[in-house]
Amino acid sequence: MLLPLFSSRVSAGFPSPADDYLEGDLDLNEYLIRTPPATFLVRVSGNSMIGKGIYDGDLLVVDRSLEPLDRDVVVAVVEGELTVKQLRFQDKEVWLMPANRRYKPLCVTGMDLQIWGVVSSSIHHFRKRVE
Amino acid sequence: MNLEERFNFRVSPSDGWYALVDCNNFYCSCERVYNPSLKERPIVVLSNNDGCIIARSNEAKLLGIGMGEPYFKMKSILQKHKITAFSSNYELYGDLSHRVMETLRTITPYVEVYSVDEAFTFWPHRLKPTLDALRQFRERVIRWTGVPVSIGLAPTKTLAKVAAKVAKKRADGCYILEEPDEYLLQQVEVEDIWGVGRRYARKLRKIGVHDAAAFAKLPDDDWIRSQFTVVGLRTVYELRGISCLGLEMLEPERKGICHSRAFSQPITNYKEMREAFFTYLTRASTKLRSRGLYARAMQIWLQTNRFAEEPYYSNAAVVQFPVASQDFFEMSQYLEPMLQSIYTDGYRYKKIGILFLDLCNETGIQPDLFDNIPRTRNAALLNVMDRLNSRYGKLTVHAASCGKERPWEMRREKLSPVAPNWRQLAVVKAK
Repeated sequence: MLLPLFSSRVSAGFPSPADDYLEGDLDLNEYLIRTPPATFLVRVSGNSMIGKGIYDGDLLVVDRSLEPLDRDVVVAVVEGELTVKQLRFQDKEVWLMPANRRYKPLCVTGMDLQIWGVVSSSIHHFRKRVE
Repeated sequence: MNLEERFNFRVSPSDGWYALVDCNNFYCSCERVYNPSLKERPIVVLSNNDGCIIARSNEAKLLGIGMGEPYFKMKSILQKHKITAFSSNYELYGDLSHRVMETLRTITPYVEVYSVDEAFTFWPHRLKPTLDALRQFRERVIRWTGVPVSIGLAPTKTLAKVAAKVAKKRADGCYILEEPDEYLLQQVEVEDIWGVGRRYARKLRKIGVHDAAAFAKLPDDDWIRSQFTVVGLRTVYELRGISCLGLEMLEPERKGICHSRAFSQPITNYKEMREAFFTYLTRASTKLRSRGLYARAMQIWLQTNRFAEEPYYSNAAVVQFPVASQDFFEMSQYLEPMLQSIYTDGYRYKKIGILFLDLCNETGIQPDLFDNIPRTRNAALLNVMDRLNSRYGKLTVHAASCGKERPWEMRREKLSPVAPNWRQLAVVKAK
């Protein structure tokens, strides 16, 4: 969807001087997606990441071209399932951390950890929409 | 005669290095992207209507599952070996194919999309990639898209095909064929040479040429040309390491838009046939509108099963629209009489299709003075229908003529739940 940055009403007579400053359309794709072929949209199911502002039903923008770093929110493969967690490297240990006290951290040091992709942003609707 | 005259086209721009990037067991690999639990497990993908096995993972190949085997015959064997079968999820495969090609375009602009799972890339001599560079390209495709690929580099496209086959067997998935390798080419059966069809392969076998090395060594160019035309001669040159086939980067202009598919069960009455045609018209005209195209003519056809032991019948009809159109409602008025003219009772119809011909975009429309179709109103209505259908799923709203039950619809019972639309995004667990 394209939104005009700002625009003046069309009127007969003089054109608005502001039209000169129109910078084109704001493209949310451009804002959210840096590497289109490597960027995947996935849906969140569950509440273990609400401390990071990720809620059940939110949309995650996952950029697989990014190198996973300490404190990144990532989609990791846990027991064959895609799971969203925060990645922590600490004292030579690797952790997958939930962001909700009701869930347990998972130590994956020495395990064959597969990071599916790095979450670059999350999209949350404040008003329920029918989808 | 020099090379240029011999081939009747310029050779120079194709001189350099060609890499064939080939996706491994593409459809199976796609199924694994969003479902890591399938990793290292045997899986197969089925053709339309879950008919035959059309893709196998390496694990399924090792278990002896053959290509093209009918699914119903293999069911118990698949169960015994715990092999998971999937219906073709073409939406998913199309999306991942596009991602693979776009990833390659971040490496070089010289990309020819050869098929859904293969692409040629071109490198001038001074930019010839090292083996290490190929490995990095491969890593990037796998990392970014989740689809494993093999890369074969060689001085010609035909040799790149050979190199890719070698690459597939190597742990690093990459191989450079520096020059035509006698020993390697001897391993390539004539049937497996790129560009050699079944007919030429048979002809080659008859004169004692069984492998690529022998084909490349045939002595007399003019004789080769007389026997195998310029196409065969090009292949011979390509096998010798002289490039004759450059990169074809331009997508061919769209000549027609087609929607054709076999039914899950034969249609034997007019009522269902009519519903099927209106459904296909809905899909085909949606495709037209989504690409901003207008058709000046429409062809429809129907046919019974050519391979079944029952009476065969097929027929087709064409109509020319007075004004180029993408309007389902206008087309509907033509469809019914066309169908009546070709439909005959007493046959078991297996497949139908609709083809739009002579396409143009909006600027190419020539209006008609006596036009009485409410085009603006229809377009507004169709626009709303298209938007509803893209959000809530295909055929959420449709004309009543499409029918309700549609028992003939293509069967895809084993479809994976993920597809590139808002309703079928992959789910990640937060638990």
